[in-house]
Amino acid sequence: MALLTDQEILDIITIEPNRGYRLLMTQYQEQLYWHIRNIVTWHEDADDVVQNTFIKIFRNLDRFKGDSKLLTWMYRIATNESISFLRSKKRKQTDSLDGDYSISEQLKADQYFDGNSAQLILTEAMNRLPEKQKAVFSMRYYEEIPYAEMSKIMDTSVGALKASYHHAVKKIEEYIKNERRD
Amino acid sequence: MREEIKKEIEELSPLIAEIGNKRGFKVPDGYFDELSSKMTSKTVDFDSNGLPSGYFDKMQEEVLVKMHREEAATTKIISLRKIISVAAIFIGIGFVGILVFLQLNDSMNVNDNSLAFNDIDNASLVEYLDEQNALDYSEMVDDELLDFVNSNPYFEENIDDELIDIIDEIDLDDLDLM
Repeated sequence: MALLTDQEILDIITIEPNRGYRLLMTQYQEQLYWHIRNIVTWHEDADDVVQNTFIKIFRNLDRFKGDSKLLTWMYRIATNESISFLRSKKRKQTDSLDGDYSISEQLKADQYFDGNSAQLILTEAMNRLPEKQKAVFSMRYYEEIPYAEMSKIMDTSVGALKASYHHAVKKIEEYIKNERRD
Repeated sequence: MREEIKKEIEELSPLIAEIGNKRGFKVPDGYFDELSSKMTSKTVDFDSNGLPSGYFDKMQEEVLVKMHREEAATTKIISLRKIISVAAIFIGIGFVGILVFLQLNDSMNVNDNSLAFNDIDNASLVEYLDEQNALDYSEMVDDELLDFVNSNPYFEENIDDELIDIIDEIDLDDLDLM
């Protein structure tokens, strides 16, 4: 299916909202899903967050001013939803049994993960970062998003993002070195 | 991996660069085909007035839920003391950074009175920053620093690669910023 421009999608939504929403989803769902998955890690969580993200997108499309690309605007919503989800999950997990099993052990048992041991330890290290920093690292390292674009998504200066990314890399490297030593 | 990203990570951490940026994540078969259908059932259908079906029936419930949520929400207050303390630590780091820079540029003229940065261990650095009345480090998390740096015009102008390098020289674990 040929990609529609932002304006074409918005025009369709104005005339036929349901058809427009389906087209929007079909065009962008994979990109948004993987963006979210890279931050929240688990497929089940990404599934929840991507659906909540699209609901929020649909409800707020009238607020989209067109001063950025539609995808950038949607990425911002997806990132905020992912961060909020992680924070909420952390608060709920204090009494949960999941906290007793390391991320590595959970990932090894997860049917939607088939990475190697190095990818496993990198994911575990990344999951120890604060939520926003995790999002920054994910966007830069896994999605290869330029800082200028990331700045629009996170409404954060390029300098602050660079500092956050550099610091995240140092922390992850330290964690991996310690794990390999043990 | 794009050349710019690859070069950046190789400079920062060859260890991580070696792992690469594939995740090893999978999705269930047909997931994306079904996602659209799942969302279609959640998508709002519009009635002949252009309002969502059952809008007024749902409105009362939604308003009550929202009210309860807003009452339960707590506002995070960043105390003035914390803002001043975060500013103090960055000023402290900047001051030390300037000393490093001066020392590196004046390495031929070391004398008994000059500051040999390599002689300063991390514990002393922490003590120095403590004396500058910096904050309780255990309260600081990177996201708050990120927000503070982002909202302060000083850092907008001054966070550059050189300052990042200076910050990287300091063992942040000793400052208990984790």
